[in-house]
Amino acid sequence: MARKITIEPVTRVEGHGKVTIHLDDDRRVTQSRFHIVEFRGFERFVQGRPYWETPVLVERLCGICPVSHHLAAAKATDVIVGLGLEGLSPTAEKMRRLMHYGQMLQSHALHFFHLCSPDLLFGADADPAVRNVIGVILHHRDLAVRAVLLRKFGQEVILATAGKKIHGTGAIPGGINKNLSPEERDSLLRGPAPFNAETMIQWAVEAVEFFKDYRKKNKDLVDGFAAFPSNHLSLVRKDGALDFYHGALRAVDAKGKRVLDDVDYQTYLDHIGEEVRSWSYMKFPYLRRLGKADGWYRVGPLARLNTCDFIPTPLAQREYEIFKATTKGKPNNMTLHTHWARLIEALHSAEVIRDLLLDPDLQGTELVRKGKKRREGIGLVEAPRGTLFHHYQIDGNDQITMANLIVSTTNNNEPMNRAVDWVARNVLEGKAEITEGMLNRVEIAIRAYDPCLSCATHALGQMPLEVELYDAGGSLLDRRIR
Amino acid sequence: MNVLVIGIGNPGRQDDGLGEALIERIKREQVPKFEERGTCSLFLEWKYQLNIEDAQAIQDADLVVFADATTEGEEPATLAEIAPAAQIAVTTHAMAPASVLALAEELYGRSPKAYLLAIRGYDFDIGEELSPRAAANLETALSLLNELLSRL
Repeated sequence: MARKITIEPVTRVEGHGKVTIHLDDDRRVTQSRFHIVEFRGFERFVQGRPYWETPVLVERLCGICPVSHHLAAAKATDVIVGLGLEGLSPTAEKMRRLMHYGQMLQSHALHFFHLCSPDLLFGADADPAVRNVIGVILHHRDLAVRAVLLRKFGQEVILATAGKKIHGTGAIPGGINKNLSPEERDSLLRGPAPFNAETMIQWAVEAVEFFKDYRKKNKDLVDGFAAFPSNHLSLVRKDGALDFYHGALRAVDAKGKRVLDDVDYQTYLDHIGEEVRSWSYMKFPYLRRLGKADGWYRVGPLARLNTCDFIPTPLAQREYEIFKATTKGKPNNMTLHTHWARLIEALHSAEVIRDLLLDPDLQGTELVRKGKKRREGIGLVEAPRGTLFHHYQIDGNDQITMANLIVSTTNNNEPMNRAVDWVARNVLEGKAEITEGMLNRVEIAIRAYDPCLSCATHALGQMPLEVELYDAGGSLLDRRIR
Repeated sequence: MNVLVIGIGNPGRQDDGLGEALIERIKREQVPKFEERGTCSLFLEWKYQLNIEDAQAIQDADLVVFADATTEGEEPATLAEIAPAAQIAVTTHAMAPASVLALAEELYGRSPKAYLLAIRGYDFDIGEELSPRAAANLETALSLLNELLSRL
């Protein structure tokens, strides 16, 4: 009897996603899909609101990366108030950058230590009672404690730059509304150990070492799991450096050939299309130049290290060179290497935070600049999970008439489907029984991309793990909740 | 005695904002009622959701009250003591209050006495207003909290 296996929702990823894997009578995979209920209503919600409210309004999209939405929207409004792409004052640009790198550090630390490390430390077949963060604490207490403090440090950077940990108001159209006081600077730079920038750098270095050591002992898994060729897209600084806050669009194919290079993101619609498929609420972005079938791409840590030419801080650059050497300089298409790339980015973030704190421009007083008003603005940042697009049009009353957001998870829609399909065909196919470990591998494949499936609501009573098994006629054969 | 009240939720998603609304009500209208007791110091915080760093944040409190909207709890609101969870569940977005307590216990050797103030909500779509029924439930929640603090 043909079967349909449903995993809903996926645990330890956000919101409500559903994986369906269709098997035929011989237990061969006929189709696998990762369904996401995308959160599109927000674009209508902001219509009619004054454009200057958007940097704060959009923070309600996501409780874990509000800073990314805050800054992408602020960058779009910079364009609306008439600034060029590099038009901010040095103080404003660096304050925003500090805020953003604080966000990257805390997000990456949380993801690796508390979401990814249980899978690595205990394996996909381990009892879920052990394969979670409590297991990490019991067996690797230092990792868990460091994760808490790395995340808290990132939050303190956000508080100092955005004014609040949530619903910060630091970035405004054309600039910022506060600089960094010497007291705030000193607290982050020279706070009592271990709560200071140098300690965070040291811990980030050790985290990268942890992963490299793990890979050495588990090479087949780390290199082979859900590996598949793809295009890669990100912002890249003008000189080719890794840059999370600003740059031009660059895309490379699986062999490293540049498909896009030095593209001004104000023209993103000329280069990126969004395909609608009947079975998913979430669109499938693609590079127009390569077409719908071949133009899909990855975004996020792995993509960024594949598109950039170098990392502009010494310790992260050293690790980047080791990372690149594993593929002889060619793009890295190994899904679990996303975690490695994430840790190198966390190290880079910590280094940038330290360097920015030493920069006197953060105590500057030119906070806002303005130019000639425009009716349209597009802002992009590299959010923790990948490239984030915010696009707004306004009318003569400064009210928003159109908003288009492409979030990182949407950009990674096709890659996540490919990763699930890889697991379906390589792990589930032909097996007589669907074990817990097999289902865990589906999660691990998705978790590498850390999708935000439905940002922003979390009320008590949601998010159990539900597993349902259907026959060919759609009848429920089995249902498990954990 | 240090009492920490953490309101949890996103006010951009209608009744999910009950936790934040409770904190704002205490701050704006109810402060004398809660503060003039002289028996406790009250600390208020609003968060979109709990996460791992809250295990450290609750360390200085003698008592913590987590106030959150609930999609299926009892109407209008319930206040119940909670213990550290047997297992810790974490996503990149959120931790349950009992998981935060358990994490605190594991990492720092203690977790404060804690209550969960679960306020029934009904509408969780995009929007900035509480539904009328949720707003009414908020009043009950404030009374329950006041009653708890009066016993300290």
